[in-house]
Amino acid sequence: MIQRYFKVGGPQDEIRRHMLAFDSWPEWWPGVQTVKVLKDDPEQPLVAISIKTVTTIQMTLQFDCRDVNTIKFRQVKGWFKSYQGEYALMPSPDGSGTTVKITTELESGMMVPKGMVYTKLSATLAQLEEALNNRLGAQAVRGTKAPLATASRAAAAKPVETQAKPGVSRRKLGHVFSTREGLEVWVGGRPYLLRPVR
Amino acid sequence: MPTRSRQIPATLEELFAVLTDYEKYVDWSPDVVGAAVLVREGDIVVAEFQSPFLLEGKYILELVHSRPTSITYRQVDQHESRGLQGTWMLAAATGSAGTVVTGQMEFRTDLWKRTADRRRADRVLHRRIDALQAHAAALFRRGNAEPELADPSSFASLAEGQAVAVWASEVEYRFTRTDR
Repeated sequence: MIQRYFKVGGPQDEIRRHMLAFDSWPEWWPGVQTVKVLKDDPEQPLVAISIKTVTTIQMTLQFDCRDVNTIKFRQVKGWFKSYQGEYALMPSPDGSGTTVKITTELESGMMVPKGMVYTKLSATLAQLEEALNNRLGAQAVRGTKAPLATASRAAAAKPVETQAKPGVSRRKLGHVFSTREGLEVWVGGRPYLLRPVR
Repeated sequence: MPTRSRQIPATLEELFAVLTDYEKYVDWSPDVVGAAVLVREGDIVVAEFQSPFLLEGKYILELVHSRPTSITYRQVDQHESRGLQGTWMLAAATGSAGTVVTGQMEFRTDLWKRTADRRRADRVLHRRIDALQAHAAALFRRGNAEPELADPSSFASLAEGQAVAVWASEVEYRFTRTDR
């Protein structure tokens, strides 16, 4: 099972709308080359997709969109022995955006190294975070978004280090520890050793 | 698995609160430069961290709380027990006030890096416990405020012309007392 979490700077319903706009996936979803909606059912659409990774993978996915917080999918025909999972959308605890939880289970079959498939799929999911944020950002630039949503995206897009409110949290610039070799100074999350020059 | 223990002059609840306030790790943990909570569902938290000495880029931990005595964490999105995992265990100190904090941390990347990964995890754990002790002492105003930290006045004790060198990215920097 592969799990991945990431935060997207936009409201849940907008992210869901983008994720269910299958026809536009090739414009922004990493690796997706073509999409053809075979059954345009709002609750359980059937979609044929080709994805470029190491090779080009063809598959037909059955989606289940009946739950407003999750989008489930299952391969009904395709390259993997089995492939299924879900995208769960949750409001972020700090209120500035949406947390996306992706759970994927796959069996690649005897001839395909599991580690390689896992690494490739993980890398693709990592790219999805940036792609989805970019997609939401691009839509906002075109003026299709409400100002409130744009503001919350901007807040979520800030690096995590800068999210603390000024004056509330005073952060040390560095940490100094005495060791037998000298002073061990941690700056920017990395250690440096200070030795007196004799 | 690298394991380190320390008795810290704070209550179980106080230390549990510090250790589960993940967004504040950047304030006291020397290796953490970024932290954000992504999901909070009761005693299960998913948080994103940046700790460049351990891993380049962001990594995600799933943390399970057993209030107020343990926190177990595991890096998500990892194949076959790779990545970062560990526990914080808290127990009331016997015979004196305070809490014994025990940290365990395992970090695994490639098989041929096993020794280096272990050493790296031990170093981070060691410094986190040092910093936790100092942070808790400062926060709760008990005990020695900076027990393991160097006295900043050691710089002031340098004679004129004497220097300390700082190496960063293969460059030597010298702090020299000039009295000017």
